Amino acid sequence: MNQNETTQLTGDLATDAPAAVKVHHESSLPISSDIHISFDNVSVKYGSDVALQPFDMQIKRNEIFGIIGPANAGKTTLLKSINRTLDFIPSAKVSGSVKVNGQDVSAIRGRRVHQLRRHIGMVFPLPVGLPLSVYENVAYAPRRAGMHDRRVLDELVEKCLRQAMLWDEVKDRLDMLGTKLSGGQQQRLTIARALSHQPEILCLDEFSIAIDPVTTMKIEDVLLELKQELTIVLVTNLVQQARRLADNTAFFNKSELIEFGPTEKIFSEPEQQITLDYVMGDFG
Amino acid sequence: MANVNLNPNDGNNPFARTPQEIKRKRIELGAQFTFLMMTMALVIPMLWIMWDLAYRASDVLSYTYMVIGVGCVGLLIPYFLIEAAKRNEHKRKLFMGLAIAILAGISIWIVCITVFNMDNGGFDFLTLNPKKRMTAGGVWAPLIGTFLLVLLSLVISAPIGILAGVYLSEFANDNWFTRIINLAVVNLAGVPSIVHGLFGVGAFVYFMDMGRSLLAASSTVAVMTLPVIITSTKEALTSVPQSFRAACWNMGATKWQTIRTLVLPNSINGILTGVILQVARAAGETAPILFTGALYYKKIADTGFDSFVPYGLEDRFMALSYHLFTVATQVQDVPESFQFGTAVVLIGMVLMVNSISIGFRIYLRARKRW
Amino acid sequence: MESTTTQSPKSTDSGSKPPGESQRGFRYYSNVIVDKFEWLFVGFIYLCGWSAILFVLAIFAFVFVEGAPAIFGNSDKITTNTQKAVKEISEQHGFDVSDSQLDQISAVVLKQLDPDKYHTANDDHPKEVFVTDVDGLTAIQKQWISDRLTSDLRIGRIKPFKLNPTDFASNEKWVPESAKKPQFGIFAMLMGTLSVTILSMLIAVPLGLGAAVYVSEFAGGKTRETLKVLIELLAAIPSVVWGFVGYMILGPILLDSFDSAVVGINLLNGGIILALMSVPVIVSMSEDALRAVPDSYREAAMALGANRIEMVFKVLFPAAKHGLLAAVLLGVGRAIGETMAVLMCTGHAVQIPEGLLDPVRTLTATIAAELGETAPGDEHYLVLFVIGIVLFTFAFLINIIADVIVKGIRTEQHG
Ligand SMILES: Nc1ncnc2c1ncn2[C@@H]1O[C@H](COP(=O)(O)OP(=O)(O)O)[C@@H](O)[C@H]1O
Ligand SMILES: [Mg+2]
Repeated sequence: MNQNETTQLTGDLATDAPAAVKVHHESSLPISSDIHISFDNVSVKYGSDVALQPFDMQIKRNEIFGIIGPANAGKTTLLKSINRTLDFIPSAKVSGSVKVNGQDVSAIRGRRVHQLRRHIGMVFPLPVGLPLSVYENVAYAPRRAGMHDRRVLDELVEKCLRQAMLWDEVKDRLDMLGTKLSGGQQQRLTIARALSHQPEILCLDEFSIAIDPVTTMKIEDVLLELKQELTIVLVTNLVQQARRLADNTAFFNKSELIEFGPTEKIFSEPEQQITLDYVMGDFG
Repeated sequence: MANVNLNPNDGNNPFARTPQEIKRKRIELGAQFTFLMMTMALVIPMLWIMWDLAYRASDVLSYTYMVIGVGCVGLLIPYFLIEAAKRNEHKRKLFMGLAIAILAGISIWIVCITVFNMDNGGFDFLTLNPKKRMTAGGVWAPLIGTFLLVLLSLVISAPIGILAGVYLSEFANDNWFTRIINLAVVNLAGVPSIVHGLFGVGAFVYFMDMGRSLLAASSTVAVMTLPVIITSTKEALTSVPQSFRAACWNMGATKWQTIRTLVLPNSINGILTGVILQVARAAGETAPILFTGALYYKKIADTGFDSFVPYGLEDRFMALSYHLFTVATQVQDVPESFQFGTAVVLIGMVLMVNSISIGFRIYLRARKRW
Repeated sequence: MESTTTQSPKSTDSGSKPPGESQRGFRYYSNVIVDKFEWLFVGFIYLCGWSAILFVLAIFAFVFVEGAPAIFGNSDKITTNTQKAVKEISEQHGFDVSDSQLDQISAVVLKQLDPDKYHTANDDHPKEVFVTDVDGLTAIQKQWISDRLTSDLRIGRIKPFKLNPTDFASNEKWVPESAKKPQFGIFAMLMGTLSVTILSMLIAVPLGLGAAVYVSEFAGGKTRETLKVLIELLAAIPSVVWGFVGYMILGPILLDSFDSAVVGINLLNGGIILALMSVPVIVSMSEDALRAVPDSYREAAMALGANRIEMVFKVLFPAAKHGLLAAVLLGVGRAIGETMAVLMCTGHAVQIPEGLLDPVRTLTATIAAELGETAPGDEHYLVLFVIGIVLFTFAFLINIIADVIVKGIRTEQHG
């Protein structure tokens, strides 16, 4: 399984890793500093329901990391464990350590949690336009972080809306309520919002459900460009989307990480039969 | 197509009604009529009671009626003008509307003069204190007492209630304790007001040693309205979808920032509607103030600043609802118009506040933001 | 994305970028301040939340604690106004008396009283009281206090008292102020409450359900809105006004129209007024329940050829039965708890009614009428609080049952 996929993982152990963190067997192998997010023996439970079985996984800097798998495999839960929004679900319990930039996110206390969340852009499958103007929707996060200069905000809003392929449609009505946009537009507004706080990591959870295919293709191109600047975690139920975009891909099934590795390998000669079944479409 | 014939007896018209259909229609109409009558059996006595109250109070309130009537017409004129201007209609129609409005005003005025006895001096009933064992004067002292009572109780219950609602629905963990508290809050809203009165006597008058006073009565009324304000606040807050909050949290906003910038601005109107309703309730309740501070009669200043703040926190006070009880059942020889006038002033106040809240809600529904 | 090259999450915090000087307006500073003092605001919210929780618990505690001595028995106790009198005299002459001195004075005074002599009278006082062994008071101060107490000492005695629950519930006699043998039986008043409530529900339930059906099924658009607003305004009319209407308008009408009526304010009057008062609750709750029935039920019934009467009685009522039941229960709750209206228009006679035109008295009216005459801690006061506990329990049970019924519907619909 994934523990064998360590050939690409070379370099030094992250020096600022807390000494108290339990070092898991295989991952005691040297971790490269270009590992951006790493999961060490992470598991998640909702009450007594296991949503994610213990697993290890590493996501490298400036790559598009695809996550595929059938519904209820725990993909969304995985994303929520990265930016600690599982905190808001009282029954959720995370064990193991999720590290971002080598820092264990569960060790973060106080206001630093909000900085962590600003460090990560999140897009969930259902479009959410906030009941603010389109402009304020995008300017929301920068304002909360203390940025109030109108010129800087103007530039930022335009840039984010352009990246989300929404600028041309809303540039003349920036003061319209975000909730009054169409579903697809709201979803792109959500993407713009996720980019607005200039994150280092962008997590997209089945972002293309509400968006038409043509626009989806355009956004995919943008993602390929953004890869130069960001690490992108792309959860998708469109297997071909992962194949097109992702450098590495992980396959989850029934709350278990089946395997992960270079996309080409996963799609052509995966180690598990079930993975091959899933990517070939004769799953179940 | 044309030879589809539903009714063989009437070959010419395929859509003619069958006897069954006609019978069914009759039953429907009958049913509608029956239910309409049941509704009317509620509405008509109501309207009649209102009319009777208003009519029998006209000796002392006719001038007030006229002012309010003319005032409403006066407000309607600009409304008509604006509407006409909006639709860009012909000017003649505009003047027609104006003329009709003025005519209506004049006719209301004439009706007031003829139907009601207009000689009864102006706003005296509202602005004079009760005199000669309540048989003369007006209702100023109880009116201002009720006003102070409502104001003070609101100052206590609105912030605590609203913030407690925010706490319970946004901050409190969902455990057995909060569930019990929520259950208690919901159930307290249905506890009889006289029980709240008992609580006030035990807790404020004797235990906290406030004595029977404006402060004790206001606190009692505040505690009575608190559960309802909490409940309506919680309802208003939950009407803001959870996904909005999640979106803000994902962008690194703190809970408080999310509440301040998104949740409160989108629920404050609903919250205020709930609070306004409680204002009306606080003004009308008698049982909770009966033993906590309301007084049968108190002489207060007739003019000047003291007539506006006649009762200190430690003083007992007159309140309109208790005054109505007094003049109706406890004092002899009060003129009928005084009794009915007091009732009309109380209803008028309460219904006015309620209408504001209803209007608020209709406006809100029209202006939905998602 | 200027910040992507940096390694630490801290450095991406865009707050580190200074905003343009020209933009630092009121909004900027208010935002900064509000965010800076977030803990203050959140703390305040927590404070209010907890104080509200305390209030809520206090309501339960106080009503029960005040009435508890009547249920569990209180002990023989002599009360005096010594402390109040001493405070007044010390204020008058401008000297201080500490709490320990007050206690000493009280003890001295109690020692001079013969407990057996002061059984009933509130205004008996001994010939003379001498305040002697008190530390730190001058002779003249002791003299002042002694004079004042001699002229104005009030002694009360709270007798041992314990309510007999069966007698309380089943005795018809309510003679609370009798000096010889007070009787505390609430049976007649219980019957009064029950009869008024049942009568009002007999009127209000059919009318309320009919009106709810009309509003939700037959009335359209504007009519529905108008009726709903009217009904809501009806609900807002204060209970003392309803009492007034019963007392001044309905009473004379009843007196005129029934020859056998001795007084106009009686059971029938109270029933009608309470019906008018509880109808809005019933209408609005049942209307909600009927609206909650999915339209597909209506369409299916119509498609099967039912007319609208059949649809209402055979489809809507069964489908909405829980909600309708809850509505009726809440109407009952309002009728039982109503105070001022029944105080003014049921005639105020403690008796078990034998006809519609008999005056009755309810539990709530009894509290309202009598609490003002009682002294805190005495028997009558305690028993009134026990009646309060009874009412509280009724209201609570009704609310919880209604709640359970409504919750029942929800779970039924979901699974
Ligand atoms: N808030 C929650 N409370 C309880 N169980 C949850 C919650 N969210 C998700 N789950 C459960 O966790 C499992 C994984 O869910 P999720 O992460 O949403 O899967 P995916 O995104 O792959 O479809 C599912 O079985 C789901 O029912
Ligand atoms: Mg998912």
